[in-house]
Amino acid sequence: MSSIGTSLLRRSIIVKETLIHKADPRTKFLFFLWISIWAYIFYDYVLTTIFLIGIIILAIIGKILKRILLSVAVIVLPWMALGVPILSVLFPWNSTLMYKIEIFGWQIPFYYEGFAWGLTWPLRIGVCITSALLFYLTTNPANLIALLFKLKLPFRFIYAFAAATQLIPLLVDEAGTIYQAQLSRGLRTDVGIIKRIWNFLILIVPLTLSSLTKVQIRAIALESRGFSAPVIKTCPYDIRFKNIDYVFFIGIAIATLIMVYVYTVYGFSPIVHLKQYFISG
Amino acid sequence: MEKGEEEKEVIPTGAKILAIVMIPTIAALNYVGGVIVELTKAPIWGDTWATILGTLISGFWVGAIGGFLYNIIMALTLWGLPAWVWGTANIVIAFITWGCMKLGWTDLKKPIKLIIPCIIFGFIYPIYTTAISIFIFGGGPLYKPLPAAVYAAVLASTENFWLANYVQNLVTEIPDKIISFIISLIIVSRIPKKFILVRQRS
Repeated sequence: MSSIGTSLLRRSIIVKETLIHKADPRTKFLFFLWISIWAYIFYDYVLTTIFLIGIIILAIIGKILKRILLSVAVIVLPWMALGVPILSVLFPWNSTLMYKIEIFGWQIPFYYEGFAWGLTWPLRIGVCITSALLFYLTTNPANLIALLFKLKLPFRFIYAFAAATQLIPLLVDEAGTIYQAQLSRGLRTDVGIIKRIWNFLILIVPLTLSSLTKVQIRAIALESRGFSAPVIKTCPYDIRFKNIDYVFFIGIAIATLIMVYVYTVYGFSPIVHLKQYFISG
Repeated sequence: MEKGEEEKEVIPTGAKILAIVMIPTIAALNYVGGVIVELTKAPIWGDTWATILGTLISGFWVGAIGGFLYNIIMALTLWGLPAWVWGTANIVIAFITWGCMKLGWTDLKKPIKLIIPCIIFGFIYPIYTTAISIFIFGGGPLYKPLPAAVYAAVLASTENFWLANYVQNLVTEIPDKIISFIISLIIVSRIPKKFILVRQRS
């Protein structure tokens, strides 16, 4: 996982008063599912780029553009940078020659099929990641728990989810403290592979033991609040649809109709007309 | 107590409540494993070792749900929707660990018996991850340079898309899973017995 990933989860929600923040978490969650599914239905890098641009516009409205672009820069672009050249040359279904490059006297052919494959898949994942971040970074944790209640998920799962999202930043901080402590004891980081694995172990062991000790404290705290009590559990937070949510729903409905039409008439690759391969799903 | 009110007996659940609290801890430890890999630059992913650990100390369900929950959280935040599928890989890891534990192949004092789990984690488990990487993520090269180079070399020499993906996965999974497995066994051997909820084969 990248350091941007770490910092994103550590900082969690960005509190702002924007239309995206005001929208109901169910609406944002629906949008996240909806656009992720459409990104997989179409195999067309131009259309997928349009989806990505749509999410970036919403990120601008939600004032979280910097974080969204960082995630794209760290996750999607490196993947593309490796995937596009390798697959343009070596993809087994390559047939349409785009151009040839001469390197050290070797003529290296670049094909369209591999190029398109190497471009489309990272873009698809880019759409899924950015839409997930749009949901996560603009949703208050209390509203997230309320959403899980509304979805009628088991109470124990809701607890586990909420506790894990709370624990992650705490444990990351603790790992940082242990790391600093080990550094001050002479832990070397400019070492070989075996020593790096050993370094991983000497950081993980104290962290695990400390976490397990806290498991008992948490269990006692939960029981003291009647966690196992045979009563119906309620959520102290409530979420309601607002006007902005209905605008979102109408937008999603119209876009769905358009995309169903495009898919039915022009197929899964309406703009760049790619072929369906055996493994492409 | 007033008339008409029904008295309910609440029985403390002990190990059960500990198991429930273990689940988010495992999910968080998987996450922090990835962060520590970043700090130490260890040549592994480092985000499944807690699933193995959770299974070893609290049983199959706790390990599997904890690992699955980690992937659900990542899918809803940083990795995007398709990443939830990696949660099933965590269930497979928990299942392999549980099976090895039941067969007595998790004893650090008998290293010969660790060979079979290492083969399962190193060579059989990557078949499953290869299928996921191809069907859900398109089967391109990974963003890490070494696996990407291996992928390109195998694809160039064999023109077999499946094999290139499998070998690429071997390069990452053999060190990651074997090291994670051994590290988890070391940690379990150092954990006070009161935390071990699962019955170990004697």
